[in-house]
Amino acid sequence: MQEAAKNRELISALADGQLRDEDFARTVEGVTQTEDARLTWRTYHLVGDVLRSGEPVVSARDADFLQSLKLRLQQETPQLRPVAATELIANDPGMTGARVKNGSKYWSANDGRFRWKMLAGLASLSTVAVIGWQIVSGWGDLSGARQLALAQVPVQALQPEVGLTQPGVGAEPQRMIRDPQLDALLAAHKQFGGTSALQGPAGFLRNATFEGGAP
Amino acid sequence: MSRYIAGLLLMALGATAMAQTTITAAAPAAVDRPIAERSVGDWLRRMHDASRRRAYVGTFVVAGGGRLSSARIWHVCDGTQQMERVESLTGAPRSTFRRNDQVLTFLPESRVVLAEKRESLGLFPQLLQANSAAIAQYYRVHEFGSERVAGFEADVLELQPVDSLRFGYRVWIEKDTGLMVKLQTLNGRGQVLEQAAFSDLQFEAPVSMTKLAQMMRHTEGYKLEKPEMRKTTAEAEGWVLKQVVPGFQPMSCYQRSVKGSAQSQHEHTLQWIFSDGLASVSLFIEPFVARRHGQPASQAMGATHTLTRRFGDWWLTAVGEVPTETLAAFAQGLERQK
Repeated sequence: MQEAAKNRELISALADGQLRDEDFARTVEGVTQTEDARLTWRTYHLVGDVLRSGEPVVSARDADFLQSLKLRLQQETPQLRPVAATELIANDPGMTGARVKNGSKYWSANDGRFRWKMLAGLASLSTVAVIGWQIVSGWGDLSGARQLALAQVPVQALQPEVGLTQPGVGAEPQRMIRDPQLDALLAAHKQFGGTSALQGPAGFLRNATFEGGAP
Repeated sequence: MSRYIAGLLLMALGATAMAQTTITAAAPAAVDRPIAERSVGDWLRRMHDASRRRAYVGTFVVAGGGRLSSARIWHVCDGTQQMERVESLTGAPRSTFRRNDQVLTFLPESRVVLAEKRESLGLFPQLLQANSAAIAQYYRVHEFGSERVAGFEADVLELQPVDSLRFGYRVWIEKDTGLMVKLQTLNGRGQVLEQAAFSDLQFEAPVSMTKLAQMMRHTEGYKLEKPEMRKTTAEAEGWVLKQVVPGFQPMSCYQRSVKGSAQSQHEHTLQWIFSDGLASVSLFIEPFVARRHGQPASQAMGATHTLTRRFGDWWLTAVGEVPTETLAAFAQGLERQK
C-alpha cells in the first residue's frame, strides 16, 4: 500500500520530467513491468495534457458522438451507471453549441472525437471522472482503484466504434494486422521518414517513439 | 503532482460554468490570415534551425491508430553536431541514439543494436531547397494564432493540401525557439489521424554531449546489425512509373535486405522512395512467393497507410503517410520494363 503510493509519486514525477539518473531508470523500468503502473503512467499523462492544454477534455463539438457513446455505454453495461461527469459534460447545453469558425478547418471534424479516442486508449474519460472522485475519498483508496478498473471496461470495449472510418480501407481501418514482414517494411520506410521536410528532425522523434509500439 | 493536479482537474470537470469560460479563453484567436506572413519554406527552415541550435529534454507522445507511444527525449547540439537520445517508455524497451545522420537503436531484450545511416536527416536544407517549390505548389499555409503546448506558447499553422492525394498537417511551433512541439496529421475531412506532441519540455537543459556519446559507444554485449543496402535506380532494376503521381518526386532507390521472418531470413527487396516534400511513399518490390504473400490488401495505422498488390511474378507493398488512393495511384502507374 505504502509502496504503491510511493510508486505513484515516482510515476507522477516521471510524467512531470522531474526524475534523473537512477530514479529515472528505475521508474521507467517499473512503468514497463506491470499493467497497473502503465495505467498510472497513462493517467498522469492524460492529466498533464488536460491541465496544460487548459481545455476541458471533451471539447463537446461532437454532441452526437457523445450522445451515441452515452447510449452505448448504457446499452452495453446496464450494470454500470454512466459516470456523472460524463453526463454533466454531455448534457451541458452551453458546451454542445459548436463554435464554427466560418468554415475554417482549425477545429477538425474529429478533434473532440480524437481526444475521445485517445482517452479510450489512455484510460477512458470515466477514469478522469474517477480521479476527480478520488479526491473526495482520498488518494490511494482501494475502492477508488477498483472503480477505476471497472470504469474502463465499457469505454475500452467501444474503441473499435470510436475508431475513424475510412472508405476503402476495410472494416477496421485502424487495426493493423501484426505481420513481421510488413513490420520490417514499415521500419524500412520509417528509416526514410526524413524524406519529408516535416518529418525531418521531429519526424525522427515520431518514428523513434512509435517504432514497435505495443500492439 | 497528485492532489494538486487532481484538484485542478476536478475544478475543470466539475465547475461547468467555469469550464465554459475556460474553453472560450483557451480557444486560440483563430485569426485566419489567408496571406501567410511566412512562407511554408520559412516555417520549415525555422523548425529545422531550432533542432540545430537548441538543447532540450522532454517527453514525446505519439497517438494514432488506437495506439499511444511515448518516449523520453534528450536533445543537444553544439552548432555543428546534433545528438539525441530517445528512450521508449511504451512497448518493447529500446534506446535510440542519433548523432547527425548516424542512428543506433539498442534493443536490450534481444541484445541487438541496429546501426543505420539516415541519409535524409543530414540532407535537410538541400531537401527543403529541392522541394520547396513542390511544397508551395501542393500545400497552402494558414496561420491560426497561438496556443499553449507543454507549457509553451506556440504558433499554430495548418498546411492544407490542394488535392486529395496528400494529408494536411497542423503544426504547433514554439514561439521563441521555433521548435515543433506538436503535429497533427489530418485526412481530407479534417479528421486527426495521428498526433505527436511534447507533453513536457524543458529548454536549455543540462544535456552532456560527451555523456551521450559515451552511452552511444557502449555497445558491449550487443550484437551489431546493419541493414544491407545498395544504392541503385529503378530503371536499372527494370521498373518505371509510367504515370507519375502529381507532386511526388523520386528521391532514392535501394536494393536492401529486409528481415522477412522470425528466422531472420533476409530477402532482397527494392525500395523506391518518393516525396512531395512533406509526405513520403516507399514502394517495396520483391519476388512473389505464394506462401508468404496473401491477398492484395490495404491497411491503415494512424497516418501510415499500406497497400499490397501482385504484379505477375512480383509483389508490391506501398507504404506512406498518404491516403490509400495515393498508394493505389502509385500501384497503377508502376510498370515492369524487362
